[in-house]
Amino acid sequence: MATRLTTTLRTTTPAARVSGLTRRFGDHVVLDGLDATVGPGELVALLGRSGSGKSTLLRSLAGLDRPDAGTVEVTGPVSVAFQEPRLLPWKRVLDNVALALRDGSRAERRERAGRALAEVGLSEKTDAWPLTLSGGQAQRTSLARALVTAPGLLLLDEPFSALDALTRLEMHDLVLSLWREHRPGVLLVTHDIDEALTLADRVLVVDRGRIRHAVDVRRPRPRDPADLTDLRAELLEVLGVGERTRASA
Amino acid sequence: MSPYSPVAEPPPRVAARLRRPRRPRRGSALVRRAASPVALLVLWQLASATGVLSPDKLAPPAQILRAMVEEWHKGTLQAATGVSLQRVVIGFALGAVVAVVLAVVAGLSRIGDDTVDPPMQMLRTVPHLGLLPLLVLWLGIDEAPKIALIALGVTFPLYVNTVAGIRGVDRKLVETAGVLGLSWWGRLRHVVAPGALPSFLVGLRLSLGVAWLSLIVAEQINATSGIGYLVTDAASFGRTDVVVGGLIVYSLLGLATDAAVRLIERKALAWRLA
Ligand SMILES: Nc1ncnc2c1ncn2[C@@H]1O[C@H](COP(=O)(O)OP(=O)(O)OP(=O)(O)O)[C@@H](O)[C@H]1O
Ligand SMILES: [Mg+2]
Repeated sequence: MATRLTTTLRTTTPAARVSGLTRRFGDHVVLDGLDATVGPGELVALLGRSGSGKSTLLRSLAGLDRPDAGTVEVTGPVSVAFQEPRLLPWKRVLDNVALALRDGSRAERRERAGRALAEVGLSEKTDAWPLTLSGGQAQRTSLARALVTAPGLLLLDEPFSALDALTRLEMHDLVLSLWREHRPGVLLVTHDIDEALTLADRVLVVDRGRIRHAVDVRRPRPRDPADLTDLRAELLEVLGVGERTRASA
Repeated sequence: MSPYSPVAEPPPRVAARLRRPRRPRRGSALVRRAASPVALLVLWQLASATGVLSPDKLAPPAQILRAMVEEWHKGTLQAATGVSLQRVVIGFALGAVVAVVLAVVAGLSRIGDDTVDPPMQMLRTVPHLGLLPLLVLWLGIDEAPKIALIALGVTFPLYVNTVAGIRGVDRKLVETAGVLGLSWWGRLRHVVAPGALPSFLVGLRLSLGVAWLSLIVAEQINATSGIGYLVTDAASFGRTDVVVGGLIVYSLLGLATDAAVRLIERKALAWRLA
């Protein structure tokens, strides 16, 4: 018995709330009664070892995966950006972004897509074919496509991990400014502890099917990683402990 | 490259990339590449003029040209070409519709795949040209067996390539389109169809080649009209000029449809040239 509920009440209801979320693949229980909440306009980072079920959780929230049990509530519209930009290579950049829009005339949709591309700094690439974009430009297009629908919940599954360090830092700034502008609830899956700590309001750690640890980062932005050493140490230990538990099990 | 080649040639860009980069040579390149065919034609003409090549066996190029101009003035060439073209168009259209419908059914649904694909994969190994005697038995000797032979020849290469194209569409892109809120129809239109298009166009070129080949074979049998009739009729009078002229018309028609598909490829797949 898994239920899914989508609302559009933005200011008071959480952007996402899952309770008792369970997902098995055969005998392998990936999510085991997981509870988690992303507040309205809250930026939450999700850490966890490879294979711990981060993408599975995100896919449940996106409606791409059907959980075996539990409830999933999301405030729509829900947008996703993946590790790969997943642009349609046969549509020009502008049309890729406009494809996310359902309402309005074609001209209106293209105009809104154009504005979203301007926000990510890609105005001069609207007519380009996706295969001509650099990795960073493609990922920015993917972000523009995710944000053009004014989502209540934005799901990001390691969207920066394929980018070089410098581009990644630029993308962090971009995501923060877009988030401040549009205030969606964000769930950011990442492997990078510093990325989680510099961006997120809250960092969750998933292990053995549940959220085992949560860190409140309420510190002013922009944050200097040098000021976050205490929290980094805490998270490293949590992730390390997870490893030892597994090894002894 | 002949449009009748049974083997899919690599997409033009790949072939171009494998070749060493060429310096732009423009006019001089054309002259150099035209030199040897022209020399062969001259040699052929000379061989005929000196009596080495008897006109009973093979007419000289100039005479072939003259014969075709003559047929043109009589109107027989246009009439024959029209009839042959009509057979190919109808046969191709029938085969293409069947191929695409079956490919969509097999490519989009599990049950469709399980029911449609096995018989298609079995039947495609049958050399369809060998079916002509059967088709004549079933359908008589008029237009029907000719069109059926063309349709059969077209169906299999187009089906196989279209199914491969649909199956090869990136699942992640289909999934992404779903997340973006596209309906089933929207996903088909914006993701599956354009994703399968490159492979479909490869199938289109192959099947057009097969269509012309099937036409030529079908027109050898019991034809009372068309280019094939023009050729067989001329052959019975020892008119090798008209025979060769007819063959040239066949290959020009094949080249024309092949060029048309290449043009479509260039336009529709512009995103790949990126
Ligand atoms: N469709 C599926 N069929 C079978 N097993 C699956 C499927 N999807 C995920 N799994 C399994 O579920 C577990 C969790 O996968 P998931 O992709 O959620 O991990 P993750 O935390 O995102 O890992 P990573 O950090 O490497 O991306 C893995 O053991 C994976 O093999
Ligand atoms: Mg993952």
